[in-house]
Amino acid sequence: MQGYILKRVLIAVFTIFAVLTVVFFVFRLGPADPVSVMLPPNATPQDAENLTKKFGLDQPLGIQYVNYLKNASQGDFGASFRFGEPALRVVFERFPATLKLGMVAFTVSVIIGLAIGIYSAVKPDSIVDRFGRVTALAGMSLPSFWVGVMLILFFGVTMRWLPIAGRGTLLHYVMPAFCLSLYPIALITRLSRSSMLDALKSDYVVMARIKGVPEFYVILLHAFKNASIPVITVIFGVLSGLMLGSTVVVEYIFSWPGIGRLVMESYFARDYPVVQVFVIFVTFVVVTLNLIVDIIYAYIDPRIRYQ
Amino acid sequence: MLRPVLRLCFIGTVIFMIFFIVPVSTVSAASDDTVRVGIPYDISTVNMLEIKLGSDIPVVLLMHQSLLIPHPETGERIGALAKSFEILENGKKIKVTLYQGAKFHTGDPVTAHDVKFTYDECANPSNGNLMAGALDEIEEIEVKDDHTLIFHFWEAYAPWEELMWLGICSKKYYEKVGPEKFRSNPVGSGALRFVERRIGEHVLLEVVKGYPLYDVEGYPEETYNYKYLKVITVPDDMTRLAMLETGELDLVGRIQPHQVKRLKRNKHVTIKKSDQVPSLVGIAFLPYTDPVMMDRNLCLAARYGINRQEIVDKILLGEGYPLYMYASRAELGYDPNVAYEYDLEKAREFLKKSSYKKGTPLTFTYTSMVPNAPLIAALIQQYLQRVGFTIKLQQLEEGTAATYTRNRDKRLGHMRLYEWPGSRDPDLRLRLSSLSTSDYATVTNRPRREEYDKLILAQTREMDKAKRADLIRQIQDIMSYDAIGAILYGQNMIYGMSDRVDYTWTPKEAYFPHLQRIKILK
Repeated sequence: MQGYILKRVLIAVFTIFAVLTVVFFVFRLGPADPVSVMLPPNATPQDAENLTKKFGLDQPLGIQYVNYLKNASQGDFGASFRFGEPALRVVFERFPATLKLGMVAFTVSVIIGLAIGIYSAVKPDSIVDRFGRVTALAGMSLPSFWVGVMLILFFGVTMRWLPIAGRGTLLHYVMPAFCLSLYPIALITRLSRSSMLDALKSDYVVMARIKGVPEFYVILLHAFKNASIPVITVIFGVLSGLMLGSTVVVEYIFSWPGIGRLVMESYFARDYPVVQVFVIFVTFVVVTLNLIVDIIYAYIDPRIRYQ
Repeated sequence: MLRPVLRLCFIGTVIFMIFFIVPVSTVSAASDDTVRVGIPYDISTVNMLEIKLGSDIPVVLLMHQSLLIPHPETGERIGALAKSFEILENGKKIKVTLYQGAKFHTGDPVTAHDVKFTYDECANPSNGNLMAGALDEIEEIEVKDDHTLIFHFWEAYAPWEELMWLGICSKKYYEKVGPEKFRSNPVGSGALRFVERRIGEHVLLEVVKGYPLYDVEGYPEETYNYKYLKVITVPDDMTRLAMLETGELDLVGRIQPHQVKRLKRNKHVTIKKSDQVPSLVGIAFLPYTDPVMMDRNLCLAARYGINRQEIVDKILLGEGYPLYMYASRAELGYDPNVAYEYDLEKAREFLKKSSYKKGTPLTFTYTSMVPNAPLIAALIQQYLQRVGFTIKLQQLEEGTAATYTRNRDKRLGHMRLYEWPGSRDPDLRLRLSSLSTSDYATVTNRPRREEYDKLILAQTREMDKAKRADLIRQIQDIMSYDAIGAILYGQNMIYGMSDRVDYTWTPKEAYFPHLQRIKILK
C-alpha cells in the first residue's frame, strides 16, 4: 500500500511541474502581450519599455522561466500586473468566496443526486424515478448561463424573492448554488441509479436478502458500497469542477467575487502571474483529489493496489 | 429500513433549502444612507498615482480633488484646488495659485509640494500611470511657495487644461505610510474618503463631513444627503440592469439602446440620456497589411457606400448620430457640416477608379470592445459588398487586437472597427493616431505628410483659441482627403437610476463624473 501511495504522489508532483511549464510557455508564446494590453493609448515607446522591464518581460524566455521556477519554489509567484499586489494574495483573497459557493453547491448536489438516484434504483418506474430522469435530462442539457439568466429574471426581477447578485446574506447563495449544482445533480442521479440497479441485481445482494439481512443494510452496506466506486469518482470530479471550472460562468452572471471570474478577467488582461497561480492551484487541487480517490479506491477494492 | 434514510435525506434537503429561503425580507433592503452605483469592470486601483484605466478615474477622483474640475452643468473647466491660473510666456509657463483652505482627509493642508509630488509620481514610468505619456509635455514643476507653483512646459501647450484633472495626493501621508499602505488605503482631499475596497466586489467611500471645502465660483456644490457611496462591480450587462430594476443598484451607466425598452416599462427606473459625450466609432484602414488600403478612391468608395443613418436607426435605435469627421459632438473641432452622405452609385464609381481588384478579399476585424460589434460588422460587410468589395469578417479578442495594432501586425487585417474612448480636446487623439511618427498611426505615408504633421504640432502649441480652431479645421480637411478609413457614428450616453435617487451626467465627460452629486430623493 505504501509503495502504491508513493508512486501516486510522484506522479502527482510530476503532473504539477509539467502543467506549470506548459502554462508558462503557452501564455508567453500566445499572440497578445500584457504590455500592449495594459498600456494607455497615449503611452510612449519609453513607457512600453519601462513596463516591459517592470514585468520582467525584457529577459529571454529561458531566463524568465528559470527565475519563475526559482521564485515559485519559494512561494513567490510575482505581483499581479493589474492590481500591483502579490498574485498569490489576489487569488487567495477571492478563493473563500468560490470555496463557500462550491461547498454549498456540492452538498446540494450530493444530497439530492444520491437520494434521487438510490430511490429511483430501488423503486424503478415510480414517480420519483420518472421525475429524476426528466430532471437529470434537463440538468445535463440546460446551459448554466441560460438557467442563471432565467433564475434572475424569475426569482429576482419578477418575484423579488431573491437578491440578484453579489454576496452578503445566505439568500445570495440560493440562485448561484442551484445553478451550479444542476449539472452535478443530474450526473450523480444518473450514475448512482445505474450503478445501484446493477448492484441490486447481483448475487451477493440476493444472498444477503436470503440470509435475512434487513433491507436498509442490504441497500446501503451491500449494494451501495459496491456501486459507489464510479459514483465516488464522479463526486470528487464534481467537487473539483464546482470549485474551479464551472464557477466561471456562474460567478460572472451572479457577480460572485470568486476565482473563476478573477481568472477570466485576468486572462483577458494578460495578467500572467494571477492566471499562473490559478492554474497551479487548480492543478494542485485536481491532482490531490485524484490522489485521494486513487487511495480510497485502493482501500475499497484491494484488487487495485495489487495490480 | 430504507424509508427512514430517504426520509432523512428529504428532510435534510428541505431544511437546507428553507435555511436559505426564509429570510426573504432582506431582499433588496437598501440601506437608506448608501448610494450604490453599478459598473461593469473591476477598478484596477484606488491609488491616483498608479491609475491605469480611464474607467478608474471617476472613483479615484471622488477621493481626490483636482486643480481643475468640469463644471457639473456646463462641462467647462473651472478651478477647484486652483484658485487662479496665469498663462506666462505665451503658454510656456502656467502659474497656479492654490486655494488656501483645502485640506486632505488627514487634516493636513493641501500645498504646492503635494501638487508637485503628485505630478512627478504620475509621470514616473515605474508607476505605470495612464497619464505618464501625456505628462511628458511638462518640463518641470517649480514650487514658489506653499500655495504657488509654476508648470514649465517644453513648449507652449494649448490643451494644458487637460493635464489639470489629476487628483492631488498627500506627500506627507505617502512618505509616512509608504507606497504599499498608500496603495491599499489612499488619502485625498476629495468629497469622499476611502473606506474599503474588495477586489471583484466593491469600493466603499464615505462622504466627508464639512465638504465642500472649496470656494469655487460658479460651482453649485451642495450638501450631500447620504453617507456612503458604494461602487459595485457587476460584469454582466443583464444582471446589472436586473439589479437596477429591483433597486439593488441605484445608478447604472452605458446602457445600450436595445436595453432601454425593457427598463422603460419599470416605473421605478428613470432613464436619462446625453448626446454631449465623447464617443466615436470608426473603421481604420490598415495600409501595412496591403498597400491598396492607401488608395484614396477605395477609401472614398467605403465612405460613400456606408449608410450611417441606417446604422444609427437600426442598431443604435436612434440613440446616436452619423459622424463623418474625427471629432465627436462633445469635442473641439466638431463641424456638423462635414458629411459623406450615403450614395451607392458614387461609391461604385470610386471603387471602379481604385486599384482594388474585384474579388480580392479584404479582412474586416472587430472586437467585443465596440458595443454591438458583430451586428455592426455584419451590416458594414453588407454595405461594402453592395459597392463591390469582397469582405471577410474576423473577430479577435481585444488583447490580441491591441498587440497586433501596436506591432502593426498584418494579421489584424485590412480594416478594423474601433472605438475611441473619448476626450474633450482632440489634440492627443490627433497626435497619437495621425502623426506619421506615432506608434499608433496607421497612415504614415500620406502624400501631404510633412504639412499634416506640422499642422498637428502647430495646433498643440497655438494658445489663441480661434487660431487653434482654424488649424484643427485644416487638419480635418486633410484627413477628409486622405485614405485613413471612415468614421461611422457617435453614440449617446444612456444611464438609468432607481426612483430613490437623481443624477445628471456632466457634459463632455466620458466616464461617470461627479458621482458625489447623486441626490437621494426618498
